[in-house]
Amino acid sequence: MILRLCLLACVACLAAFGQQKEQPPEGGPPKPFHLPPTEDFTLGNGMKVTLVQYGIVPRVAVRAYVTAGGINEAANQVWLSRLTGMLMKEGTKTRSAERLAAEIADTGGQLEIDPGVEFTTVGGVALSDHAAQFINLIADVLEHPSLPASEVPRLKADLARELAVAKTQPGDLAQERFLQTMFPDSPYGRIFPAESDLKGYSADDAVAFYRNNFSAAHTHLYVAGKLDGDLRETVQKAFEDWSKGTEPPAVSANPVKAHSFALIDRPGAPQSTLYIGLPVAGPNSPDYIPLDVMNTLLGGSFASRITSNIREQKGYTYSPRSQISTRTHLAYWVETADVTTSVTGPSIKEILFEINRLRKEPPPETELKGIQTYLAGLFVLRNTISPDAVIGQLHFVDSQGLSRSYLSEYVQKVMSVQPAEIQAVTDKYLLPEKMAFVIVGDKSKLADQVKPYETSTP
Amino acid sequence: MRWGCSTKLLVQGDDSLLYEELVKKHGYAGSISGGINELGNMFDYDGPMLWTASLIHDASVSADQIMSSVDSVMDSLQSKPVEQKLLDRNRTKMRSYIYDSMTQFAGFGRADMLASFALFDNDPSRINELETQFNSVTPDLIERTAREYLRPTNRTVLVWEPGAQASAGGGQ
Repeated sequence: MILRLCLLACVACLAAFGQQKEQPPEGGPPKPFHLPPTEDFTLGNGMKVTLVQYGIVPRVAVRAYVTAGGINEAANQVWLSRLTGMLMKEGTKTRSAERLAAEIADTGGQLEIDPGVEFTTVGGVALSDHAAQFINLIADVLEHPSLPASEVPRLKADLARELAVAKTQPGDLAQERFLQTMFPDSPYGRIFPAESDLKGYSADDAVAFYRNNFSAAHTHLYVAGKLDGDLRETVQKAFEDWSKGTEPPAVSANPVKAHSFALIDRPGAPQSTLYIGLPVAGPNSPDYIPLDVMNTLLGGSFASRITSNIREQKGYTYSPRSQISTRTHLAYWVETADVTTSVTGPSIKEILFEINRLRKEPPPETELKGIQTYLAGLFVLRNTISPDAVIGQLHFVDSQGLSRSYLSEYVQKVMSVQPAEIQAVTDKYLLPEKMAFVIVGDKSKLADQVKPYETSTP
Repeated sequence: MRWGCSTKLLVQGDDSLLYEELVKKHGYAGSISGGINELGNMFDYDGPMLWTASLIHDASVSADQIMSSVDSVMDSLQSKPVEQKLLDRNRTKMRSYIYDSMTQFAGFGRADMLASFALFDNDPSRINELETQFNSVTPDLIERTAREYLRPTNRTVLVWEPGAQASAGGGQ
């Protein structure tokens, strides 16, 4: 489906570059995003709950965000959160893995447990008429997982296989080095375990990880979709006996903002994988939305400057992309691209050229307007129909300590960013002399090309 | 319709037959993915579609071992009707899948389905009939479908082995 959308986008581009075509009528002003009313409450054990009546199809998304993940792992425990998450799918005190899988399927849902850096999400999307049963099953998995030792060898073998595959992927290698550079000696900078550590993990380690990190006080449950019946009561009953646990520890990270350069050798590679970026203001900063718009204009969309330059005009790469990636109270900007080996140096040069151009000159109003309309429209489209998407947005503002009104004001805030602000945030944050450069490629063909970036050049 | 059912039954979900056999029972892979017409979905193409399933396994396990497990699952589908309970579960999964397809890509999924039925059947209202059509699939139809299509002689097995020399035939 993704491929197909890309093809559609390409066909549209071809049409645009072809003969002069009739201009489409001017679009209207972007519609505002209306966040539907939410029902928010906290159970006696401290678990937070949000219910949202949402969407058009009879399905309900249920996601528990548990403060448990990479940040709770010691340096020699990377992926222990993942092993724990996988084990939690292997049945509960009263349900075997097979029975659990069958009962989940009977609700039209899937059990998805996704351990991330800061949160593990547990949940899925089921049919509305089975929502109560689905919530009960999720509660059972969260509160009473059996964490069977018998499954640990198989699951560790699965993780070892996944690790072996990831270590052959240039994108994974570049990301690993980039995050290590930005977050040294921090769980935020550790994305892969040492194979020897992984081999040593036991069922007891997973049980301890579960006990320390999965509890009511660590959890915010979101339920969104076409909700039938009294799901508040269902949630109450299903979770009220869960132990409160300890308050999750406050997380902090102080990402490094300094020039660095790493060239990871991949002999014979026909392409070089680039990661170039640095920390920027997080979601709590007033600069965040201007940064978001700036990123979309600079490299974060198909029509963006870096993409137009190194993909459309020069043909150095197929799918370059810049993004702002957030963690709690912090963010970093990064441009990633797989570029042809022989034009690795020129690609970096053009990326920096586009950054510096935007630092010096505000973008033309028409260009900015197109990007703003795109970003605002996309926000409304993405979040109007899928209950899962609105849960993602609610969790984003809740976990960042932002007001829920952030979501209803987002479109208007995006639309009111001025060209001079774009220039100002680029100049303030995207400092090439403070960027981390990570390149994975054929060292023998790259050494000369990338030499200018080995040292900091203001 | 019968294909949609077979796909859900075989390869989609932690309760599916191939997941049970290959992931849970033998531990050949951490996951298995698959479906019909993976470039789109089962509604938006009119013609012979490819049914595919794929996984990544350890070098210590041979492709033949895995295919013999796959065959044991296929054999059971071909030799006896599936239990009614499994089929009922499958209907629930299908109903959920239909609604999921409609909300894909910010609602584009529903437009895509309407357009497909308008183009192929001159009847966009077929979108309202899908659930009834899935419900009409019987254990007998699943068994016949498996016998007709899920035959070893109908399939292509691609094995990608890092570092291996290309064989004369260009693959298996």
